[in-house]
Amino acid sequence: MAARITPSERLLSLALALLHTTVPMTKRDIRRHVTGYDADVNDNAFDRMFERDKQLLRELGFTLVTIGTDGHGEEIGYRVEVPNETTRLRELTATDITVMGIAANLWRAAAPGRDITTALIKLRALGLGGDTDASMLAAGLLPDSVALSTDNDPAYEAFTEAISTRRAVKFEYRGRFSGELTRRHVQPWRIAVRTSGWYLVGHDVDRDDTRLFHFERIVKKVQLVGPEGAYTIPAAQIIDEAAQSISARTVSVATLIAKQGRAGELRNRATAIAPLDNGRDQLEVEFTHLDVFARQIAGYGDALVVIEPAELRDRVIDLLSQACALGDPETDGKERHG
Amino acid sequence: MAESNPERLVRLLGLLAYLDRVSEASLDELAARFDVPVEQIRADIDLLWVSGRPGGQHQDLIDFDAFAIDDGIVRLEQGQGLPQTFRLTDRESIALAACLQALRAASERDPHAEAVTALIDDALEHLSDDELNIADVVDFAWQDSVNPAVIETLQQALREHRRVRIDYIDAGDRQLQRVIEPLQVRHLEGRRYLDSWCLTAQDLRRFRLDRIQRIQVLADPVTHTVSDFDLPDGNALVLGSPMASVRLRLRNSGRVIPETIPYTWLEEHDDDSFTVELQITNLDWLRRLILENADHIIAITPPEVAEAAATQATAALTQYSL
Repeated sequence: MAARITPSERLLSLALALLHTTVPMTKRDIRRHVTGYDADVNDNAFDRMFERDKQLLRELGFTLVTIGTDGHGEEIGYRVEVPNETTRLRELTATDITVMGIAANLWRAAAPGRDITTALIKLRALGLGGDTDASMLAAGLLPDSVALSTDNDPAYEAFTEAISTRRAVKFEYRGRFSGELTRRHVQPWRIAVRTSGWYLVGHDVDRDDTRLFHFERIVKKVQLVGPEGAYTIPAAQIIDEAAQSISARTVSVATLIAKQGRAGELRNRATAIAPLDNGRDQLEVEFTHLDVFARQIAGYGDALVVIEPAELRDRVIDLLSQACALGDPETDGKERHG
Repeated sequence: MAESNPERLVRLLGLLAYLDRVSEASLDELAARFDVPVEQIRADIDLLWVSGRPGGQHQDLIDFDAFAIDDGIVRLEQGQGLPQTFRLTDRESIALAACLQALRAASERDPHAEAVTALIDDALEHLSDDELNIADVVDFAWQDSVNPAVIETLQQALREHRRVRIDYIDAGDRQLQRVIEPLQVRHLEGRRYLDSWCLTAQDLRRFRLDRIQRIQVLADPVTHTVSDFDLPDGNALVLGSPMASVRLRLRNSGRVIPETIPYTWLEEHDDDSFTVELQITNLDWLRRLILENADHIIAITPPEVAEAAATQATAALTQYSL
């Protein structure tokens, strides 16, 4: 026997065999005829090897079809179908490929999963050049590096797999306020990335309602459950609506008074700054989320005072009062509301 | 180096698809295109060459021009139908669409963004098919309040490899002026940062772009570039050495803290609360964190930290009772 057959070689042989076979090949045919399986492995080892290879073929993009020849499990036949149009390559222009190449290169290091790595290899095979990116960067059109981390890559991979095959998922989820762990059964629709983190938008099967799930609060491995094509993803507007609570809302304007030279970050984004007689400045600042903005203001301590709106002012006073209580050892904190 | 199987397989199939399109290419060009050493391309071609369908006869095998390869030219003679199966998988399309969406969200507020956005939208549309609206699987919306003029000046400096002077507001609300050598702009969870060599600190520093008040390009050329450093991906770049460690006991409502801030230790308690330990590099930053999250905090160790924050809060509250 010559050099050992590598897994890559075996997989190529399998792909070629299944692509050219006139009748679907059974597992027995494959074991007998395809290079790489003929080594002296036992039945179990062969089965494991073949299951892995089948999965890998699908991941590589081959359309693997199974045909039950006579209804007996053993006689299932396999074949690789040639896509009648090379899906998703037909429509892509050279410009599309360049733009995708730039985007993929910017994100490669930090984008979740390995899909982007293989996608980039495929773009190169489709003619993506190396220097176009550089010339566009030089034109000053784009940032130099974009990093993105989910802190939960496995969840990202499971959800994209689920969305692309319309399979349901199950996972353990920690409630936002209760902190309680619950088992969730969800039909994933979309992944939404916000400043506050990554979210799954989907239909919660047990609660029969749309829900948002923060990636960070998914505590255990996400499992894909049930058959493919188990649900339909609703129209974009419906998902947009479901994600409303994490999307930017209407902009409000706050009037604040800042000590001289302080609250620089808010001065930076103020729409108006007017000096007052007492050496302080009055700022007009736009905000979208009241709670987030109230926290930011409280963080500045005595450098800022809220004039209006009253709701914002009350929320800031509430936060500051709770901070005061922290210095008092008599309070164990249980009495205060959150 | 052991290479993961799927990546090599994708490259093998990619090589066939590429050679099928261009009919021939040099080993050097293929190595550059697929970003691997020439020896690797040679090994890939050798592997493809002995691959074929069952039977193993010459007409069953993938075949290259044996004479051309002696001159370093790879010419595909028989691809055995594999180039015709080459496609992007749904998941790869989703990943590409996500990158496009992220780039769109990241460049939205930049000057000249419109031209880029139009190109991105075209590509997104072409990626989608009837079955799955690929463009919509991952959706980005970031709040970013960076002044476009800051971006423009920074891009000029990066292009011309020159130092800049910045007026910066640090995490403790102090105004600083620094002369820095910009290395790269990073997007981390929707915020833009500038990694740079700081001449004042003589060390790496990361600045948040929305905290830069003014920026000016200087005549001096830079002496450091991004390739001089092994900058980690993600937000792992911790700058400055920790001064103290602080433990916060938090209600479950305060999960956002360990979700967004690196911590060294976390313990869950039976009463639905938990404790995190943070390494502090800046006391002003810590005071701010406490005031911003006072409703989530049950207790702080050491207690002096809690007292200092409470003093700050009292001073702030006095202004409301005037």
